[in-house]
Amino acid sequence: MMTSDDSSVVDWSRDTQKLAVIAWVSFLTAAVMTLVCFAFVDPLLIIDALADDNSIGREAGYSVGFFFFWIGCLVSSWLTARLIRRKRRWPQRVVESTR
Amino acid sequence: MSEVSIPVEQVGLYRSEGKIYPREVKGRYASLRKLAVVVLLGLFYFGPFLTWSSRQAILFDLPARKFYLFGLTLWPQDFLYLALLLILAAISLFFFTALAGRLWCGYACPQTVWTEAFVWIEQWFEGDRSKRMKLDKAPMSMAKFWRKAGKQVSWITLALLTGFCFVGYFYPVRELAADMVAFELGGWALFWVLFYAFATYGNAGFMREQVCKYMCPYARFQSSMFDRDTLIITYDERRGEPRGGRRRGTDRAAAGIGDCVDCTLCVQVCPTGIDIREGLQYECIACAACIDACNGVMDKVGYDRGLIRYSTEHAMNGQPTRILRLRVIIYSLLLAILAGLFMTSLATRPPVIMDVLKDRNALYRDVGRAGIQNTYRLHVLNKQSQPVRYLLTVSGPEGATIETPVAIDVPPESMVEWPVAVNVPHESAIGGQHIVFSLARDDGQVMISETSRFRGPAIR
Repeated sequence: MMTSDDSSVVDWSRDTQKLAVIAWVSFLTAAVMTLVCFAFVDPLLIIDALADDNSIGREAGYSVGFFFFWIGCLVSSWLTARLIRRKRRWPQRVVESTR
Repeated sequence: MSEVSIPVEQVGLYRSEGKIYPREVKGRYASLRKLAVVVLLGLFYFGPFLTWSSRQAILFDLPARKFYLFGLTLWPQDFLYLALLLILAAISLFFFTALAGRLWCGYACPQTVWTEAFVWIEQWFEGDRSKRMKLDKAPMSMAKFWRKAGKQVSWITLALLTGFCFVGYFYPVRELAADMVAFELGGWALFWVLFYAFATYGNAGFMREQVCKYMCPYARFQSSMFDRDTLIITYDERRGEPRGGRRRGTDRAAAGIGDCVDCTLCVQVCPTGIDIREGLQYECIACAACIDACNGVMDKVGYDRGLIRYSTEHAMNGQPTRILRLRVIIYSLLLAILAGLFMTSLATRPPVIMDVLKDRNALYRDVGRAGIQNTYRLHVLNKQSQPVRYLLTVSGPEGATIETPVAIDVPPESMVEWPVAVNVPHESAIGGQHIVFSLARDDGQVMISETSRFRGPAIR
C-alpha cells in the first residue's frame, strides 16, 4: 500500500484505534461537561463543601473537575467498547466479500 | 517502451521545498492552506498579547471567573451568550459542511494546522520524503544526530510555546510570562502548559492524520450533512477510466484509455493514504493535495486540469447542482435566528452586574449583641456610561441587617469591589442558609439580585 510521505505515520492496530477513540472522545465530552458544569457552579463552593482549606484555589477546582469527568467518561467508554464487542470475529473472507 | 515519465519527487503537499521544478509544486490548494495556517497560527499565538483599553483583549479569566472579549465583559451569569456562541459555531460548521464539504478539515482544523506546521519543521531539518527515508535508514552519525535533535528541539519548543499561549487565554498572559521566566509558575498553570504542549507534540508530531481517520467524531458524522450537491473532492471517473500508462502522444480514443495515467501520485500525496479514485471515503479530509498533484501531472502530459477536482455528485453525473436546498435553507435560517437572538440579548443585557463572593477567611464571626456576622466581597459592574449610585438591601435570614454603608457610587463602565458585612441575630443565624443581595439604582427601581450563603454556628 502506498502511504503518505511520512515514515512516522503507520496504520494503527484495532486495539490502538479503540484506545485512541476512547481517550479522545471522552476527553472532548469531559471538556464540554467541565465547561457547562463550572459555568454554573463556582468550584470554590465545591471545595468549601469538601475541605476546610482556603489555600485551594479555583484553578485546582477546574482541573480536578476536568479529570474527574474525563476518568468517568473513560471508564464508561471503555466498558461500552468491551461489552458490545462481537463474540466471534467474522471469517476474513466474509469481510472481504462484503466490502 | 517509453512511458511518460513522471518524476515522483516533484509534486506533493509535504514536499514543496528544495525541489527541482518549484513551479509545478506550488499547487493552488497547497498555497491556500499555507495561507490559512499562517493566518490561524498567527491569530492563536498573538491572541493573548492583544490589548484592549489597557487590559488583555481576549482573556477567559478562570481564576476570577470573568471573560473578556475585547469590549465585552462576560460573567458566569452570562453563560447563555457563550453557549449561544458555541451553538452558532457548530451550526456554521454544519452549514459550511453541507455547502462545501470538509473545508474545516482541510484548512482550519487545529489538527491540520499544527500538523502542517510540524511537517514544515520536519522538512526544514530532514529534507523531503526521499531524504527523510534515506536518513532514517542511515546509521547514526553526527549529521543524522543533529538533524534529528534539531527537529525534536524545534518541535518541543513550538509545543511549549503553544501550551504557553493556550494557557495565556485563561490566565493573564503577562503574569504568566513573568512567572515562567522567573521559574515561579504555580502548579496548575505549569501543569496545563505542559499538558497542552504534550498534546500538541503528540497530535501534530506523531499521530497526525490518524487523529482524523480514527479519533475524530466529526469525520464520522459529516456524511449526515452531505448530500449530492455538497462540494467534495472527487475523481472524474468517466474522464479518467480506463486508466493506464501510455506513450507520449498516444491517441486516447483510439487506444481506448482515459485521462488517468495511473502515476499514483494522488495516492502518494494523500496524508490519510486513500485512493481518491475509488470514490469518496470518510478518511478524506479534503486537503486537496491530490488535486494539486494531479493538476501538475495533467499539465505535464498536456491534458486538461481537473481530473481530480472540487465538484458535486450531481455535477459528476451530469445533473445540475443546486446550491439552495432544504438542508442549506434550514441551516441558514437557524443561523440567522440564533445570531439575531444572540445580538438582541447581548444588546439588552441588564446595565449592571453584581457578583457576590463570600469571604473565605472566616466562615462567620460572633459580634456579640449584634448577632452573627458574615463578610462578603461584592463586585459591582456598572456598564452604563454615566456614574450610578446603587443601594443595597439583603433578605433571607430573619432580621438580617447590613452593617457597612448601603450605598455605593460606581464610576461609568467600571467595576468596584465592595466589602460588605451582614449581621443576623443569634436566633435566626443557625447553619447555612441563602441570603439574597438586591441592588437597586437610586431611583428606587430594583435591578438585580444575587444569592449567596450566610453561615452561622450549627444547631446548639
